[in-house]
Amino acid sequence: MKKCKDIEKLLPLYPNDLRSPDEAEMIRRHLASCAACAEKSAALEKTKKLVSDLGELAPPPRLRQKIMAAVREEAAKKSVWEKLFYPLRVKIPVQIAAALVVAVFALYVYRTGEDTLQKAASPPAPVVQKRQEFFLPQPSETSPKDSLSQNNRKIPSPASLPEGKRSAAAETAEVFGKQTEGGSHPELLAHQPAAEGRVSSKSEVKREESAPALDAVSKTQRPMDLSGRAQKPDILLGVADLERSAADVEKILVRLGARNIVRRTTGGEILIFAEMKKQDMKDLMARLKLIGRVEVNESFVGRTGGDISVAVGIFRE
Amino acid sequence: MPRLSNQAGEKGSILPDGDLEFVRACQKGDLNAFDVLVVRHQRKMFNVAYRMLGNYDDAADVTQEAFVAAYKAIGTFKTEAKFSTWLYSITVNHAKNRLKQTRGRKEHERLSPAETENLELESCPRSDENPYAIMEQKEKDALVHQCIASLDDEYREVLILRDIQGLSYEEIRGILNIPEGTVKSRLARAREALKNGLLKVFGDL
Repeated sequence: MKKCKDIEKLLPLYPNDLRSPDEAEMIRRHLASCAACAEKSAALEKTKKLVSDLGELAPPPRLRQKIMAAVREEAAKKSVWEKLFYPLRVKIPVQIAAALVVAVFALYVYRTGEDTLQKAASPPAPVVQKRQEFFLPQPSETSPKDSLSQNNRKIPSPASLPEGKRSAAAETAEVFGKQTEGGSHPELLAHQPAAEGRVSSKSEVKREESAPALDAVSKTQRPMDLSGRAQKPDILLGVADLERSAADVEKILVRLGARNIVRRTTGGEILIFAEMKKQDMKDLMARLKLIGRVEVNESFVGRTGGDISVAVGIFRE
Repeated sequence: MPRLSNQAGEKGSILPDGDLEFVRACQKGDLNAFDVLVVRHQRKMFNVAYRMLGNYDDAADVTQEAFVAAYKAIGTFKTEAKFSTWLYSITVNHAKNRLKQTRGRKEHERLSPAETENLELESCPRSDENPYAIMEQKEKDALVHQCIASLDDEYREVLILRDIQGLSYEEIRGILNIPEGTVKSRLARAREALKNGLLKVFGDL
């Protein structure tokens, strides 16, 4: 038989909360023979009865209304969230579809950007194309007829043309010769290469003129206002005689071995583009100064590399 | 909205399965279904909170907080469980938090007998024909309440859930998230401590 001390530990759980009916039976027997434990058990029973007899308090009369008001407030907040994400069976497929569309679009943008980067990283396109892309057309003072006759007129090397026809290159060579004779700019001949008059196929001079329809756009602009745009001429050359100076510049470029020489006449100014070696720039500048007033674009000064493209803007002063 | 299967608010009338259809309706956004659950359970939740906190207004606040919290989390409720057990656990946790707050502010005071007397106790056995008996019962209840309030928190909550609310060990284990053995040992100590407290107050039981 267990001692009273052991029984006392179990009494608070007697009779319904014990682990087994055997335990309950064992306590019942002990209580029958132990008055002290029976007294404690009776006190515990009364305690349980006092507790279980405690009355239930009525909640405040408007507690339900308060709870529901708070719940409705919460539901209003919740419904905004639900509008976005619930019901799941409808919203999730829609959201997945939207996410896929965004992902595909992002991929497309990324791929497009990658192509652009690759193009940028690829070897530079011929200057003619490049410049056509970058320069906006300028109003032309020439008539449409003149424009047609001059537009995109290519001046191939004399050797590549049938005999008897005058190419622009041959003209250039002739003009150069006349100028030499006339002494308009005799200094230009100081550094004339040995193979004078010979123009390589790379040194072809192309001539372009902007569309007359754009005349009205910038007639009021100063000839070199185009320098204020992203496509600035690298070198500005202010001269008295536009055509003759342009021809002189072309000749200088030819003599310095420049390639892809393109002339573009745009409303009162002439732009000449060419590719040439960096080390020849000093000579070019020295000769241009003999023709007119020279201004050099700041961004051009710092340009590096073996071959550089140069844009000479010639305007009348 | 589901039809009520029992009379809301009646003590001991809540059928375990009866809550689930309202819970499901509520999970679909039916606020009226939640209203039914409030009507069914507010009394029990309020009384648990009151016995734990010993303060009528705090108990009302905690009951409201618990129901709002239950509504917010109703989507996570697993229908295999019993809704009332889940709601009890929310209420008990909110009551514990409130106890910590009030003790932190040193505002927690146990009810005086006078305060308890003013509260209307509805279910206690009393004789309506004998005002003296009613008063005696109220005084006795107030003293018992004081003794319960003097117990340690972990003993008090087990005693309230088992001896006042009449919950099973399984339910208490789920609510308090403790093993059944711990529930029993705490209950034994709580009863022993309460018996000793009542003996001091009443002299003889």
